Amino acid sequence: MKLAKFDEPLEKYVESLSLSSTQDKLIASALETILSLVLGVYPEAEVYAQGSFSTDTMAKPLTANQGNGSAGEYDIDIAIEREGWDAAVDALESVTQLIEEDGIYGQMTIDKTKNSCVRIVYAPDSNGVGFHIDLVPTKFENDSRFAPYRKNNSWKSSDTKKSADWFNSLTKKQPELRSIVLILKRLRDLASLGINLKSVLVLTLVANSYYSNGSLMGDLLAVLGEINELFANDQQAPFIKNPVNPGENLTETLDDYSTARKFFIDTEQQLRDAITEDDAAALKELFGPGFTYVAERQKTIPVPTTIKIQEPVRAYGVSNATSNQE
Amino acid sequence: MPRLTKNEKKWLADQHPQMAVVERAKLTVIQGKLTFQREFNTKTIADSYHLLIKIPTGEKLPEVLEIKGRLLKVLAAHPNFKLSDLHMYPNEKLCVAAPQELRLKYLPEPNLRIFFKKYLEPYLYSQSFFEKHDEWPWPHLPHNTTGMLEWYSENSQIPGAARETAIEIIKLSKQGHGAAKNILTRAYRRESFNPRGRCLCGSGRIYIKCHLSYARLALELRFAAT
Repeated sequence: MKLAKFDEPLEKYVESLSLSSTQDKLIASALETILSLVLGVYPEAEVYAQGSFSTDTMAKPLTANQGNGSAGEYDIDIAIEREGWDAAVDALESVTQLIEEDGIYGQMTIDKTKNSCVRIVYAPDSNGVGFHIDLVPTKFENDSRFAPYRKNNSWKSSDTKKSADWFNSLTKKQPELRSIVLILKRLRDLASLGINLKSVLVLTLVANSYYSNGSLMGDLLAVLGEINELFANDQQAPFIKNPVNPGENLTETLDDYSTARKFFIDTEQQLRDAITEDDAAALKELFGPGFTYVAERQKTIPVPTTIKIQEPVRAYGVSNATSNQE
Repeated sequence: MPRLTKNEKKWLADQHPQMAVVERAKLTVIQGKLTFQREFNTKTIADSYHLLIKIPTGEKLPEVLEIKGRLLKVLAAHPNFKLSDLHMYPNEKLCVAAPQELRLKYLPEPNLRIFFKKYLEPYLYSQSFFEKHDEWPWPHLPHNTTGMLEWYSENSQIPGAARETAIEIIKLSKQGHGAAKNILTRAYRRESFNPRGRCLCGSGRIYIKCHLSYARLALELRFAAT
């Protein structure tokens, strides 16, 4: 079968996964406001968005209706990069103070317990979807970047800017990568695995597994196949190195390896079964809201012409054996 | 094996519309439902199997898995059976033919249509036949080393047959198959090609009165094992 027949519905689906214009505007306004707030106090700082926003892989969160009563959240991570940050906890407290003293943000809920950031929490919208801003003081020293680690008042190596550059350089040559990431993030969210299966791991797995098939469905199946080979061991998660920090194992970000593994196995199997039978309903159930596909009119699968077996090749078998057996 | 050609992909899409090709970095995967209708000795069988076929790049053979557990159900219905009795490897991959058969007759000029028509569909036909009649439509090779030797005795004239069979027997020996190890030991003890030596098959007769072709295999085993 030609997998290209799924391209149009998948492309439309990917479009539907982009943030709404309201959500886009909220993010743009948040960036602008934080920028001017921070530069007012730290004029030498570099302020930039990181994470999914910087790689253009931010998937629209599920509404309460779509998420079986539980709406998703979207967020923007903003790095405040300076050489002059002192101790990690002091940096976090400085940023907290900056926010608390602001007339508007000071009225919002501020989560001061996060290990690596200060979180400004917005009230959910009418669909129950939440939004928050994570402000990450980022220390720049000796050409490297570090994020704070509140628990032991230290700075840990973390170069999300380099990660974004790495991924964006790949998507320049292979723009489909972005679509595959968005699709898998949506499927992950539908399976309620957003907390377990971090976006940075999804992104890296996709980038490492990608092989162009000339069709989005083919690409998606190829990525899932490769991921499932990587995750073949049911006891031990593989070492997936951070592409910009090779000593870091990204599977350590998983809370529950076996659940994540099952997610990929089940997704590949369901997708394979659905496309084999050209089952529009099964595809819709898998992909969730925003996916529409009309199966080709049920042509009768042609009965093959009977072919005689002239000289049958003899099959073989190898049994498990130990040295005393045959 | 090289990647599938455009023609092979087209053939697959036309003949097996419920199968899809997915290319990955080091292999091509064909997945979906294979439907066939074949006849042997006037008995026609039309059937389908859900398969995952992995075709690696390089010199490795294709691997086939039946992914709906149908063959495992047949296995479960025969409590005395092992996977090898259903012509499957211990990892549940289908053993559609002796590995040397595929290496010598298929791999030099791989062609998807030939793989399906000559090897895969007849294999699946025989599985469907067995499922229905509880007997095989034609005798398959015995398991393990005996099967290897039998294949060799029928194909010894093919260049490379002795070498490829020797390789498979050595693999079996490394997997702990006692008969394979015994055969290797006997072969290794041969100092020269001796038609009056005891036949490798274990009959006790000398080669020229048993399987003369096995003498060549003994020589190959001796050198392949060192």
